[in-house]
Amino acid sequence: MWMPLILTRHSVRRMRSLLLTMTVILTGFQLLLAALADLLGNSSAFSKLAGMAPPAVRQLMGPSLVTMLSVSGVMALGYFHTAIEAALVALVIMIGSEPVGELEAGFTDLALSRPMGRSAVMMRTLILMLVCPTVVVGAMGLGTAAGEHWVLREGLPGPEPRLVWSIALNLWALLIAWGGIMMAVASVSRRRGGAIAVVATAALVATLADYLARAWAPLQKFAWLSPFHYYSPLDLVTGAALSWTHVLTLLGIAATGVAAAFVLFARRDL
Amino acid sequence: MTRHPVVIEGLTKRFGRLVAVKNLSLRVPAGQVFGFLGLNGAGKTTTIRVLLDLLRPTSGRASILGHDCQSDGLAARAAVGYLPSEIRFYPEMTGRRVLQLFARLSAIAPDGERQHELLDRLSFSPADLDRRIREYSTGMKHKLGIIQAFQADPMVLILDEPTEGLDPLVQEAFYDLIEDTRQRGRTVFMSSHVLSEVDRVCDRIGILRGGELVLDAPVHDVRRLAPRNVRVTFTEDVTPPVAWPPGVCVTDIKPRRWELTSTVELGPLVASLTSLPVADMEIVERHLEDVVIDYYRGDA
Repeated sequence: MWMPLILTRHSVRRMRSLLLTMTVILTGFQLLLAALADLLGNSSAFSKLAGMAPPAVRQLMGPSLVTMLSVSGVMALGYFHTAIEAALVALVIMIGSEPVGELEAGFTDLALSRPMGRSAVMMRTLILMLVCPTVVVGAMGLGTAAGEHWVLREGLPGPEPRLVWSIALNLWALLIAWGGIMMAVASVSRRRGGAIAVVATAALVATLADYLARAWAPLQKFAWLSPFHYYSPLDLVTGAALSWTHVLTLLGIAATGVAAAFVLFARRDL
Repeated sequence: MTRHPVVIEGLTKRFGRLVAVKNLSLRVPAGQVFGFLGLNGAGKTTTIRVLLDLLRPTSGRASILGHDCQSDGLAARAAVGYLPSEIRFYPEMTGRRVLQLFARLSAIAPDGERQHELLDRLSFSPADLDRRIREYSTGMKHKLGIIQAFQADPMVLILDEPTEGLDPLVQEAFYDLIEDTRQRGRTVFMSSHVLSEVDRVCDRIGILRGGELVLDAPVHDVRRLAPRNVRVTFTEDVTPPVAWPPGVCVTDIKPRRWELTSTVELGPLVASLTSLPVADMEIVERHLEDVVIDYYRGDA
């Protein structure tokens, strides 16, 4: 069997509980959001909530406030709620940091004393980094579709499939980008904890920078530095088309990180 | 078959300013057990990691069975079984899963019979194999490490401190295993601190001091370098000679007892005693340890 696949099987076995739990929770959350949207939609609560919003919030959110306070808006929240984003980014950070974790655990010494190239370790991580977010985000999409089909009452307009697909794709690209960054950092690190701390801090700073740049003009010229800048779910909810430039930028970050990881890991002392 | 399965030529490895291994050259003959000795930090593990391409040499090269360890590393490692000094496995895995995984990652598919034989020799029961690593003692983890290194019956075995943490009975079983491996023409490259073990199982030793190879010789030749203690007792008082045969030193002289050390063959000394009333002559065997420790100290 191809060496990266043997390693992939080994990694999946080790992570299966986490992956399964996360997939179930996030998919279940989409169903819960559908139930909440159904409840709010049927009690005409959306217009009351919009009326209760302070003027400053209305000014800050603009037309997206009205869009957010809709069945589609509530159901789309499952793709960009801070907790969901944090959980998903944590998942790819965990996957991307596996090479340094194995190095620390002594597994790399034993595995690479076999006729296996170092690229197999990184190829395995790349496979997991592509497949795991696809599975989790895909399951979330299925959760949204199931919620729309079985939970929402007839007559309530759920999110368009195109909207769900666009947000999911944009989210997936964001996760792949963070995975690539994590792989690059892991490829030169000696301690998993240290590598995770670096990327988690970078993700936190990038999130805050992105939030602040949306509200504070002086920061806007630096906004392009944050990967979160290229994930714009609110724009998509308000009807904007998916920005392929943003998706490609995120994939470009991922590709750069992955390429750096392969090169640096191949050259380093283990 | 290659005459020297393990060849190191002019190997230097630096970590920043620290020179871990300095211009090391050695050849391990086929079918021999090579003991790689040195104090902590002498550069033994660094050399082993270069052989496995886990570390990249600053200069020089290393090869296994004619394959360069860096440029042709996959072919070099296809014939290698490796036991690290600090054996660590994932605690949630069972012993069986560990062996299966490493068997899959080896180029040579291990046969079940070989694995059973190893389990038997090292007193490792099938029930132990189904337990999780977290339930293993240090010794059991080490035994599992030995099994994963030997199970594919590789042509070259690289063992870093192989008996650390093993009880005496398992150590005995391990020595038998090494002997068996040698008899089947395999080459063993092992580092060790246990000099009695090296004396017993190795055919040849190399001593590293401060990253430099200070000795590379067959064990029986090294043993000869050790001075032999000779005690001669006489039936009556004798006067010691004015000049002693070359290589003989006096430790203690009494009228009826001489204590001497000799670093050479004893023929000339015995000849010089023929005219004297010798009651008894006691020769204490040479120990490898005596020489090796001198090399460690830098006295040799």
